[in-house]
Amino acid sequence: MPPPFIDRLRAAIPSHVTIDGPVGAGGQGTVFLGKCRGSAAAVKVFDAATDLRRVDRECTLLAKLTCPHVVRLIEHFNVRINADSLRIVVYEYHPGGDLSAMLAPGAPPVSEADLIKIGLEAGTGIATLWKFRIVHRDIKPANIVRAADGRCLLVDVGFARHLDLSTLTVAGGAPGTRGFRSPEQTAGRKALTINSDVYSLGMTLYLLAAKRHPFGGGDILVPTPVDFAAMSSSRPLSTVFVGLVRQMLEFTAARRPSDIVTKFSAIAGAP
Amino acid sequence: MFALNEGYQWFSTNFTNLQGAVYLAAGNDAERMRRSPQANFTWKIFDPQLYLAGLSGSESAKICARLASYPWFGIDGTPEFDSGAQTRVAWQQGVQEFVKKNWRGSAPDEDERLSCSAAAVSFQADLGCTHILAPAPLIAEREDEAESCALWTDAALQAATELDIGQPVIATVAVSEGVLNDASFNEGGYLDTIVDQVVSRDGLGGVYLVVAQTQPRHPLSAPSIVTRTYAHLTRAFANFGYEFIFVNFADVFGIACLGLGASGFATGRSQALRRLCLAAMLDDGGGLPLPHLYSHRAVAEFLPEREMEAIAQRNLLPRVRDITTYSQDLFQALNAGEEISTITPWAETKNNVATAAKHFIARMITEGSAYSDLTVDDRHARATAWLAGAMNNQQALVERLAGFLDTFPTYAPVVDWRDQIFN
Repeated sequence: MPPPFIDRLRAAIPSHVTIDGPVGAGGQGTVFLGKCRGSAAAVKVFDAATDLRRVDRECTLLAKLTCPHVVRLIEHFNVRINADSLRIVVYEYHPGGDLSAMLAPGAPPVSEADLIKIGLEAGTGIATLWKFRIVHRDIKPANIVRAADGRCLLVDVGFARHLDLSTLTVAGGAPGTRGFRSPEQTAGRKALTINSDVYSLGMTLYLLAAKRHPFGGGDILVPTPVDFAAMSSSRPLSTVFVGLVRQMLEFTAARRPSDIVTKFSAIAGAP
Repeated sequence: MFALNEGYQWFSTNFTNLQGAVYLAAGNDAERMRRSPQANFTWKIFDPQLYLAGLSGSESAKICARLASYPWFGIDGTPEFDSGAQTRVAWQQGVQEFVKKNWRGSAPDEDERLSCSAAAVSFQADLGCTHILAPAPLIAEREDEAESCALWTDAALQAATELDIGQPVIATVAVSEGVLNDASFNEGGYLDTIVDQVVSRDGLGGVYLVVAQTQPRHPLSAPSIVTRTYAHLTRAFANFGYEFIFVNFADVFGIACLGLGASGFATGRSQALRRLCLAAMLDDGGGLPLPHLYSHRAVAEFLPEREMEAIAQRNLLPRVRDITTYSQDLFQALNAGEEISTITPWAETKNNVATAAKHFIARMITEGSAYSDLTVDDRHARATAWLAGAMNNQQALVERLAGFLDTFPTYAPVVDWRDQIFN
């Protein structure tokens, strides 16, 4: 009987990287908690079937960024296990977990101050990506993590589209996560802009505030009414904040606030 | 505000009250463009016309030869003019032969985008333009989703920053009628995709709109999908809050766009300068035109002898009266029952179009000025009142001229235009 996969992986990777247990798995691979040169690290092992061009692109773009609200890449390399060449990417690890914990049954209501902080910080990450004409395409609670100092950071930039590079498609339809995709993303549009990520962030904030999805967890392809009053059902929220989320969830992309950082900064700074 | 599209002839020198001019790359080669008249316009615009990169070098050699003199078309080795060695005509013929073999038929590649954009930006700055138009290819393939156009805009913004250009950079949105259908106007449809690509760019000073028609038609007779596109884009960019929204090649419909939030429009003296149609830009295209009187009151054009005389005889002159410095002699003669063939500037002979063209431009200048100082609501009200009046006038003309004309005056589809303003 061959040794478990994790043991073969440990044997294959460089000695300055260590792997403890898995902390998550997704469509593209498995994330392990570990260490890199003694510091806590998230080690992502991409499935052998993953399009390596996409992984390379993620590494290239992340290497360009220095934003406190986008996860930092430490290094990346290949290992060979049996016949498979696997791509390993090592990121800085943030122990605060992702925002999906805020949606767990029994979780307390998220305060407006916290919602604004999430909007501002995740919005800053989105805007930073867009400066490089990168659209994340998979903004959702599980892809926003908390650092030890409480900062929010965007992770899993693997679906991001870098406009300077050739278009890569995703098998099985529109990329992203059901329920968080913008209408244009759902419609299969390739040339997305920052306004698509703004929609997904708006949906994230709605969900964190209302604790339920406005469309029953699905995507929309036609203008559909949203019950914004549900956002305030568990505690009052200011009309200016709800109004901003309403703008972010506009069906037509051009009507969304692409100056998202300015908008959230204004709310955050308001008395 | 109105600006005149300038072709090969510097027609703007005929007018002292002209508010702006749009110099077109297709009208002149780079060397002659640098020697364009130095007028003190409020708006001096140069259109790099990269959206013409898809022309055929063999079928449109005359225009492509001019365009090839501009570096942003990426045509290497274009012969330069040497006044000591050849005549200008001989040089132009040589360049036309050159482009027949070397014209690309498409915009430069991605790796040339920044250098080509920088060349276009610096050319406009050197020319003293008040606004810098980002060169952009024609949006002619649905699959592209206007992204190529947006990436050229990015390159122009980057170039303007690196060159420390102070003038506002304007996004060029040049869309082909061929990519549009009724679904394009839906919420979140193709036109909204184009708008999204533009408004997601920081640092733009506005937008410059062109819709290229697939078939050559009279400028007043643009198909509904073309005018609807101008209206939809103008409204969307106005809602976004751009202060500079400039509509070109919409001809008189540009005035309707002023009512929808455009800040300016341009048209020109000839059909080729009034609407954009790549299929009409052939070397052997066009014959010798007859003069036509433009009536703003009816939004229509009439032959001076065969049609205007009949209009006068049927006591319909109030329906079409349009007095400018250039048309007053014509109307005096019509009122007096004189034959228009005796009024030389309006005689219905081939290519006798200079006075009719000046009248048309003078009317555009007057209308452009009238909108300049109005509020948004007042602009809309003025445009709708104008079109309502034109509907009445057209209806009366059609009814009362029935059976009295052997010709067909050109009436703009003002009912359609009015619907677009209201919707």
